[in-house]
Amino acid sequence: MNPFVSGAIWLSVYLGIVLAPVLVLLLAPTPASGGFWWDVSMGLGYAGITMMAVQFVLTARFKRATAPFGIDVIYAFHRYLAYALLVLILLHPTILVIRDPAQLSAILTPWTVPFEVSAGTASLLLLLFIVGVSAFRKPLRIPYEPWRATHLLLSIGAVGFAFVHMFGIGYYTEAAAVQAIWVLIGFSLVAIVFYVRLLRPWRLLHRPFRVAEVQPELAESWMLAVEPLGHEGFDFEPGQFAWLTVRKSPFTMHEHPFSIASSPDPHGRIEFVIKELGDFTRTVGQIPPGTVAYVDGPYGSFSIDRHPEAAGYVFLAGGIGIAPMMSMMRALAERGDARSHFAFAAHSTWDRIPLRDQVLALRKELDLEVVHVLEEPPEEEEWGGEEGWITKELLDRYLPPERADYHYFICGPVPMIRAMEAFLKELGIEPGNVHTELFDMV
Amino acid sequence: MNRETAAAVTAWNTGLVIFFAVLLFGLLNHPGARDAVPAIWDSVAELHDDPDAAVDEVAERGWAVYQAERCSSCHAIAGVGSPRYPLDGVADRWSSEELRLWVVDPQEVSPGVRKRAYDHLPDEDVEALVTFLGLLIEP
Repeated sequence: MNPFVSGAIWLSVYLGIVLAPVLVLLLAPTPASGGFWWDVSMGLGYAGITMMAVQFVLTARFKRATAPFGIDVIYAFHRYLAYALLVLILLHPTILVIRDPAQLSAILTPWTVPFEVSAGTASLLLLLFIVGVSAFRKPLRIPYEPWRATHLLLSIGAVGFAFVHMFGIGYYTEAAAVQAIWVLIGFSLVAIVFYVRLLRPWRLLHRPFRVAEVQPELAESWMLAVEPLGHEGFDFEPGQFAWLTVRKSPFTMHEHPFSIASSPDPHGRIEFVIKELGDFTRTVGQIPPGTVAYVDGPYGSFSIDRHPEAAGYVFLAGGIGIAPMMSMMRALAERGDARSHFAFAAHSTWDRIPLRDQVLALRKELDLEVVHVLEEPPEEEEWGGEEGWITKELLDRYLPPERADYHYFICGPVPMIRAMEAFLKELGIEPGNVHTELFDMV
Repeated sequence: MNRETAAAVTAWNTGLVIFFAVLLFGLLNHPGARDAVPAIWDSVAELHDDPDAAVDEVAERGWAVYQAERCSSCHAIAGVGSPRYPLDGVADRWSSEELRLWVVDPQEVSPGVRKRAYDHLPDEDVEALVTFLGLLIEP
C-alpha cells in the first residue's frame, strides 16, 4: 500500500484511540461539569494518558504495521510525540492552577494532599525526567543499555501513577462505558509490555543464530556473519537492518540495531559490518565464532526494492554508512542488473574505507562507478581521485543527464545526510527519489 | 522534507489536532449544565423541611466560601463536584466543632490524613463554611 494512504489510516487509528475516552464521556452519563476549562483540563489529562499508553505500541516493532514507513521514522515519531504529549499533559494542571491558583500548593506540597492527587504529580515528574533524560542522553553520556532498561521501567511507572491519579480522583470515571474503555487501554498496555519483554524475546530464543565468522575490516570495523541454527532464517530486502543480540539472552534487552551488509541469502546467512563506536561495538572483534546470537529483523524501508522503477541507483555513503549500500549493490550484482549505478563514498583517508576492496570488486559484475572522496588523500603517491567532501559541483560532474530518473540512497552522519539532501534538491532531484535512514534512532 | 522533519511535523500536528479536539469536547460536554455548582445550593435547601428557617445569611456566606475555595475540586455535594470525597451527610457524622477542625486543622481530627488545611481563611469565613456544612444532613 502507498505509505501516504497507510499513514493516513494509521494516524486516524491513533487519533481514534487517543480521543476515545473523551468521546465516550460525551455519550455516557457523567456528573455535572466543572465548566469549560475544567473539562478541557480533564480532556487533556485523559488524552495525555492514552498518548502515553500508545507510546509503548509505537516502539513495540510491529513488523507489518511499520513496514510501509520504515521503523526508524516510527521511532522518530515516538520521540516527537513524547514532546507533544508532555506539552498537553503539562497543560492539564496548568489550566487548573490558572483557574484556581490555590491548587498550586497541592502540586508543590504533594505530601499534604491525598495520594491520588500526588500520584498525578509523581507521574508528571517522572514524565519530565524520562523525556529530559532521553532528549539529552548523548550530551549526558548515559550509556544506551541502562538507559533503555530504565526508560521502559520509568515509563511504566509514569503511566501507572497516571492511572492511579485518574481512577483515585474518579472524576468522570464512574460511567460503565468510561471504565470499560480504560480497562481496555490498561489491558492493552499490559499486553504490549508482555509482548515486548516476554513474547518477542521468547520467539527470538527459539530461532537462534550462530556467529559464523568475524573478520577485521578497514577503519576499526568488523564484519560479523551469523547463520541460522536449525531454521531457515528470514527474508529481507537489501538495505534493511536488524537488532542483534550476542552473548546475552534476548530477555536482557542487550540488543543493537545494525544494517545488513550482505545480500539476501538462500541459507539465511547475514553479514553485518560494525564500526567500533560504543560499549558493545568495541567488543565485536573478540566474539568467537560459534557464539549464539539472536537477530530480530528485518526492519526499515531503506531499500532499492521499494523503488524498482528507477533508471539506476546512486549510493551516497559516509563512513560506515556504506554497509546498507553494500547489501543493495551486492543484490544488484547477483540479479545481473544491467542499469548503471553510482557509489559516492566520503571517508577521511584511503586506509579508512570500510568494505573498500569489496565495493571496487563489484565493478566487474555491475555497471557501477565508484567515486571515493577523501578528506586527506594519500601523500606519497599521486591521488587521481576526489578530495575534500562530496559537493554539489562534484555530484553534478558525475551524475548522468537523466539523473532525475535515478533513485538516491544516503546513509552517513546526520550533517552529511542533510548536506546531500540539499545538494540533490538544488540539482533538481525530486524529494520522492531521495531516501535516507535515520540511523541515529535513540 | 526529510524523514526526520516529516516525523516531527506529523507528531506536532497530531498533538495540535488532539488539543483542538479536547477544546471541542469542552464546548460540547454538558453545554446546558455549564457550571452546575450553583445547583448545589438549591439541593441543600431542599434537604430541610423548612428551607427558609434552615438557610440563613451565614450559611449563604459559607456557600460563597465553598465556591470561592473551589471545594468541589475534591468534594461533591448531591453528585456535583469530585465524587471522591462526597460531603452528603457530614452534618450527621460530625459536630460543628469537628467540622471546623476538618477545615482548619484536619490533622487534629484524623492524624496523618492528607488534606489541605484552610487555616488561612478569616474566622468569619470558617464559621460561615461550618454553618453551611452543618446543613448537609443525610438526604
